[in-house]
Amino acid sequence: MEPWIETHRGAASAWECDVTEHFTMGFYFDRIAMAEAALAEELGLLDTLRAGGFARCFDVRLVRELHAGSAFHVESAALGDGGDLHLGHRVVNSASGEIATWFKARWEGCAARLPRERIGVWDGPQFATWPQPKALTGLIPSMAGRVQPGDLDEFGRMGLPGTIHKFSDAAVQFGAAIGLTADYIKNARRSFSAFELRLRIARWPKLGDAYRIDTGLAHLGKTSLRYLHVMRDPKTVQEIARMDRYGVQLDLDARRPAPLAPELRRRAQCLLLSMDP
Amino acid sequence: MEPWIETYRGTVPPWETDVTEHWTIAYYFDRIALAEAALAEELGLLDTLREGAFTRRYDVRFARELRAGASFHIESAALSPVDGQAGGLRLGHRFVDSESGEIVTWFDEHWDGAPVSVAAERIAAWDGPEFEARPEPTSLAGAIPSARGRVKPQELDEFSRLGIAGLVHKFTDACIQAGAAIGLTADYIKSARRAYSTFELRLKVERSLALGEPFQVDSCIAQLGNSSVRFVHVMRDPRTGQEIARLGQFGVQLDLDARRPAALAPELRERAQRLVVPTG
Repeated sequence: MEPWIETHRGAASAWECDVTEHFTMGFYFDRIAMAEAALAEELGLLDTLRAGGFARCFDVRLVRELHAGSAFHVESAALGDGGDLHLGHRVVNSASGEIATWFKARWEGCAARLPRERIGVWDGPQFATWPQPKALTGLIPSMAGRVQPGDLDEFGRMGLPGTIHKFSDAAVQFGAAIGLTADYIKNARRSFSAFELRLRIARWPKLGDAYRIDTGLAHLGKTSLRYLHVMRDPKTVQEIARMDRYGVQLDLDARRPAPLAPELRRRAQCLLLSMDP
Repeated sequence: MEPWIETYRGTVPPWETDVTEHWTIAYYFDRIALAEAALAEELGLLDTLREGAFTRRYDVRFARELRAGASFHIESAALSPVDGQAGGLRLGHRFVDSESGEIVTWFDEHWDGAPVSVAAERIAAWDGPEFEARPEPTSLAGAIPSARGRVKPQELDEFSRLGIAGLVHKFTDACIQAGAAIGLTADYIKSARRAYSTFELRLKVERSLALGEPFQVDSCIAQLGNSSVRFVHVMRDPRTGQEIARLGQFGVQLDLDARRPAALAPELRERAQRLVVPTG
């Protein structure tokens, strides 16, 4: 049997697009959640996924944009087993056949064993290790709330899209803190667009559980920025999830990176974290 | 008591509109689910609806568009059968533009074989369109894969099964996929200012799905006109191949600025021809 199987087919709805005028991140993960469950079921691992109890990591490379009305499908495969289970997902533009986005997933400490014929070859990008901040003391508050019924997944806990939508809120808040406000986005036709993500979800809150997110700037280039978001339980301060989001300020008309204006750069500098080499 | 009663009142939020720049059809069904449950409760049939176990059919005619910010309400009534007759229940729903009073959409709904009857004074006359029989595909061999996924919590209805709004969202995805297959891609829609707009639907729901259950949809073209296209989308359980629901979707390629039908470009027509299946 071919290791790569189709696990989702659908489209980007107009209401799933954001101020950057493309398919928003939370909805990629909405589809990946479905794709991952479909693959898990195919591999006989649905009960393992349902039981949870392990951290899940996602390395994501966004290569081409999807817009309102884009038809796409997801192909998925197991990539390796042993100490961790490795999975791959390719988001394919159904009209052009081009791969729009790569997802490399890892279930930490999941000791599942799979038949060799079910292991696919990863033909996507390699993900380099990024330097981490020395401390999280420079982060600013960017999101807080409680898990709502609409955030739950089919297993009854906060799902991937629910989690990512919170990080998107955090990115909008953090963008506003450096001057990328709604008014600026509208008037200057500039917005933040992610091209690579690193996500690690260590625990899965339940309905009504509280969370908060703090965000800092891990890198500042001419056009590029790297946001680091940390979601924690506000009562215990235990880390729930962490997202590292590398992106650029995008010219919304040219769909090309655009340098930050001096005022935005000055404000961004103030939020830059001290990094370990 | 007047048989037609108001079963829903509300508006069209901007985030429920689609690339055709009008209210997307799944949200009509979102409101019809509410209207249907309200009418069923009024008729003492809510438990019958909750139990399900019968096929539901919806024949829908879109007469005028609803756009972001539109105010509308729904009037609903039982149309048959009166006490003592068999043959299932027929319901009618009218979407009314609350501002102009015009009826914008008609829903003629059937609960096939549902063992219910309604008091004669609750039976209304249907003043909506008649729906002619449409030829069905004789084979789905030429259909293409157009949607696949699993039922999410947000797609469940108040009876904890895949609701009609969730179901129709899947068919909308299938329509976008089928559209892209003939060249009506996101880029084309944006640059050519053309998109697909539905004027009639035939939805048949034979069974429902529970949370986490998988589905797949295959689509084909049953009729191709100058500007019109009739898609047929069939949803099945990929584990058993059993049909879950089927949607016949008749529409036109719309000029998004003139809001008028526009002939398909030759390239799109040629690609659409490849998806046409025999009907009978």
